[in-house]
Amino acid sequence: MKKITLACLAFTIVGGMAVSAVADSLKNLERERALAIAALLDSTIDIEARWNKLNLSKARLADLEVMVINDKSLKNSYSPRVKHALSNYELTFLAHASAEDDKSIAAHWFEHIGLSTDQLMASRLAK
Amino acid sequence: MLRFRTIIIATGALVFVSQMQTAVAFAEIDQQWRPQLSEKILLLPPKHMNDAIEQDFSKSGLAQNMTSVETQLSDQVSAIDQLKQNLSRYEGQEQIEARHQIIVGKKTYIELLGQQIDLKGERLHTKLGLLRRLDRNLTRNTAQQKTASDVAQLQADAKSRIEGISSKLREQIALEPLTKETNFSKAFDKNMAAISALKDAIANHRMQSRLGLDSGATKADMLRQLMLDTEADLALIEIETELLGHMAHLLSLDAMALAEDVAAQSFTVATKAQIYSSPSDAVLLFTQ
Repeated sequence: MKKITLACLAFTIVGGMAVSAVADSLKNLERERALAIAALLDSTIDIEARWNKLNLSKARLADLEVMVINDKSLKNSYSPRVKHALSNYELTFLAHASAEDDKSIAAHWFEHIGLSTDQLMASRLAK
Repeated sequence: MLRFRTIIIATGALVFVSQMQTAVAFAEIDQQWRPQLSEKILLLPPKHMNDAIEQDFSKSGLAQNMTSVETQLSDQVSAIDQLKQNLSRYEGQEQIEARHQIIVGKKTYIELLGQQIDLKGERLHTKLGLLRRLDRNLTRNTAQQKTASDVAQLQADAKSRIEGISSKLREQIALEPLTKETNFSKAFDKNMAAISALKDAIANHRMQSRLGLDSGATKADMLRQLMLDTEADLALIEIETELLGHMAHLLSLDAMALAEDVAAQSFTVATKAQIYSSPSDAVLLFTQ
């Protein structure tokens, strides 16, 4: 019984290592983007801290976005996640898309998810 | 005891027969062409695909067999030419014998040529089979590429947009006091510059224009062209077979002419041997 348990454990570790050996640039980008948005929406930090966090995220996002567009393994991927991510350029490649629009990452993201000042002002309270 | 001996003899005979069959089977295999080429041949430049196929064929038993038959054919042709040149020197029976030898030589030549045509056909059918297999694989790969092309297209679009704005973004990041240029960014710029230089060198290389395009469509076109050429060669084989039939027809007429000449000579000999007396020949005997 002990041997079986050890074998299962070894198999799991080896399997985990094999999975972790596969570099997934898109997952890394999505993780970094999620951290950036989390910083953006974090109400517990002040403006300066948010600014610094977003600037650091911007540099990391710029690198990760370059990694994604140069990742040849994505071309052979049939995953709908990959297709969906690449189809939504404005939200996936936040750093480059915001630079293209001459806006900050925050303004760009809010605008593309429908939370711009104009859109908020045009909204009305309804039950 | 006698029964045991019978079993041993029967077993021995069985082993001997099976070994003989194996030897015969190997001999048959050796005469064939089993292409050893894999789909990796499609990675070669289109112009070199046919060379690779021909090189594979040249290593086969079938190629050796064809070379051997070709040598016998050329020997046979020179022997027939020699006999034909010397034919005028012979007379009577010797000339008949020389003509007979020519006909036998021509018959052997036709048999060898027929064998060579069969081998040529076998080679072309094998080559056509190989080309069809490669074409099927290429078509399958192209279909897979088309399925993946949506994602590739999206990635290419994103790449072109990002490359257009990348320098501006880097300037913006560099202007920030707390963020410094990352190691990846430095290494990426350096590598991209190197890649760009290499791409220029590739584009300007003199072999680039000679190799032609390496796209799937070009390879498919090349494969189709090779298949068409092989089928044209097979059509030529049919014509060669017809030509051989005419040769055999002419040879049979030669043989009939020889037989007639031999018969005529035999009749002459027989006529000379049987001269019967006539009363007119002996008239002098009575008048003088």
